[in-house]
Amino acid sequence: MKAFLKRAKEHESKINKYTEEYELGRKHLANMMGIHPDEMTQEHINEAIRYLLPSGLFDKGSRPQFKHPKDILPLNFDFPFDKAGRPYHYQYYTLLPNYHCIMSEAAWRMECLREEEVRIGSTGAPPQEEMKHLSEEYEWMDLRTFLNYFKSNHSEVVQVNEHNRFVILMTKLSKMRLREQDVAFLKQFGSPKTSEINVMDTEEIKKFYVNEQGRKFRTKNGYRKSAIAQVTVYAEGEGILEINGKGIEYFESQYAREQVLFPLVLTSSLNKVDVHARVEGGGEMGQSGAIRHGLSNALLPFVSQQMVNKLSLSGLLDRDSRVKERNKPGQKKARKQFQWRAR
Amino acid sequence: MASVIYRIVSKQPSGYCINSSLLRSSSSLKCWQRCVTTFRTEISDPSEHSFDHEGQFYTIPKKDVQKIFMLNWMSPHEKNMNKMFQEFSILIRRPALEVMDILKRLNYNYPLTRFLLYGEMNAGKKFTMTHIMHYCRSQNWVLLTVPWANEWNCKRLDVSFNHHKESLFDLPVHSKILLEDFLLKNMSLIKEFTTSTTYEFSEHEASEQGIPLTDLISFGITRMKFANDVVGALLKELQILANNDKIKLLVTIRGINSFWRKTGQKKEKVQEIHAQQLTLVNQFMELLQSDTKNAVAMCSTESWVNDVTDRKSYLPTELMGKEGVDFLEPFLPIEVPKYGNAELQSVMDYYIDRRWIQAPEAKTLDGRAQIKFLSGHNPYQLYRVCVPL
Repeated sequence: MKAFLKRAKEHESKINKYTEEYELGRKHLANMMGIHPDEMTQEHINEAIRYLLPSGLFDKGSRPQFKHPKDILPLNFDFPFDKAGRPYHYQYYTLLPNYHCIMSEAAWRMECLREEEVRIGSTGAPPQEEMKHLSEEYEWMDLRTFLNYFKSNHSEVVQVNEHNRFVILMTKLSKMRLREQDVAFLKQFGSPKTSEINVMDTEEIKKFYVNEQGRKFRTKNGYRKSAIAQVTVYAEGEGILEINGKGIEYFESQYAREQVLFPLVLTSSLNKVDVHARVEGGGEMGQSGAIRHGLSNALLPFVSQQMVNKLSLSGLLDRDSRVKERNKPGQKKARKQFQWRAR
Repeated sequence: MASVIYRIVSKQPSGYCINSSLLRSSSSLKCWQRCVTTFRTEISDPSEHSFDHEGQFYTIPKKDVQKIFMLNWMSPHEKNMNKMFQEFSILIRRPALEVMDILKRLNYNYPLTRFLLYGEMNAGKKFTMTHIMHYCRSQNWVLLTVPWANEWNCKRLDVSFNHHKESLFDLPVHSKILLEDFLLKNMSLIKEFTTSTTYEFSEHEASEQGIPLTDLISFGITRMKFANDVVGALLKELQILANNDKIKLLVTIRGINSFWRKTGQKKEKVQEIHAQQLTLVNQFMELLQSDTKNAVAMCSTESWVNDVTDRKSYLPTELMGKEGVDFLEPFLPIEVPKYGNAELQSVMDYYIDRRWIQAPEAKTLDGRAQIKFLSGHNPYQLYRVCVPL
């Protein structure tokens, strides 16, 4: 109790100090800008700060900001209990009240749904058609977001066990017949799976041809630097690899071989697919990059939609646009300067 | 046939998980034992190896390693492996088994049989040779080894003019090394034998008839000037002994395609020396074309012999040229292929057993498939891929 009081007092003094500084700074800024301090809005301040302290940081939260402390710190130091010392939250004495609140709510909902099902079953109605479970469409919060959620909103430190239990409970709940309120409750804790966001869903991607022996195949070109590769992928294969008539010994360095290996490992089709490639131009690394590009493009129809999204997000399907930089006049090479002389 | 079936059944699910309950529930004890040590045999005597043991490792006992292989035959890479794995074990592969099969059934009254091992670089020709050498040593053959014939071409040690023939060149230091090596390997076997004729090395020095062979060899080692001639004498003596059914001779030459190349040796005022102008080469060529009974020659063509830019070919006709093929014919060509799938798995089992592969992902089926892909079925590449794991 005493500790709380102490902290509240410190908090108040802090806020007062910050507000004073803020007001001072605001007046100075207004003076600099030539606007009357009463007419200055937050937008003016933001513009001024962006001009005075430019920063190229990507994270906008870590760029310099000038705000009233009430936007940053909580105004009132909320006591979680009343004057008599009785806590407001009914689960305050579990040291993680909000976490347990969510878990018990989910459990309560599960009980209700079970009772309903029993009721429906007892009436003798035939079972409904199979619905699409929410767990198929949604992915529950992974560990980091989970920890962040509790830390930032409720300043609670949650452990890994708790996260595991959370995931188990939510999947269990999502597999029952849900009402609208339950769906809304669950959607707080999940994000839709990447399969809903179809990055590339055109028909072109799924095109393949069938050759004389009835095997499906697809050829695609891959490019890197100045190397061009024509890659054909035959489905239902054994893992045969052929590059310009040779096996993988065509490449001598491990790095180049790993470039060819990578798309096959990602799509886990090492021993399920035959690859034949023809490469021209470029050097060893360029050729291996070209094969990688062609391979990943050629594998698309034989692979699930989720994997297609993964591939496109990983950047395997894009042409690597890095090219050798041109030499410039007044310099030795693209970046290298001539030797500096004092006179 | 039954043992073959067990082998196939046991290899697939259980070669990697040694103590699974699947194994214990299987009916025969032999099957379980095979499962546990699927990549190794206990039999270290190569004469007992048969096609049943194909794809398994066997260890060479330490004293044999010390005596036969340690000094001149093993490369630093193999010595390193020996130190690391605390043992020297070889994979039993088909070419070695074929050669040993032929050797067991050969009629030694016919003249010299010539085997020619060929294969891609780092495919395992040297290890098949070690296997066969171990077998021959267990049968008490006399081993005459030339660990790397291209040394005569490249390693620049003394060159001198030959006394007897003016056009040929001697390599005294190389011949001394050869003689030392021969003595160490075959000391116990040649103790009783004596020379049959006198050999004149120069006007003043000659060796008489009837002196023990070991003395002749040590004479060559101490008097390097005559070492090359001693080598020639030794080869003739061995031929005579073999013809009299007293010894069986195994000649191994690694890199025989260096016999038809230019050397890098230099002598004052002489511009280029071709390998055919070296006495050592001529002596060995004589031996290979001779009609000795009880003798077998094992040669290998290596693409290492060529320059760095010229190493793509590995077929003997391309490496040796027309001259070489004409010289060596008729020979028994034996191809040393790259690893098959079963051999790859057993090699990876061995590496895991010896703690060479330590990453846990590498021990899974997926990891193995990736390693297999990256290595391209090449034995040395497999070793290199597993280095960072």
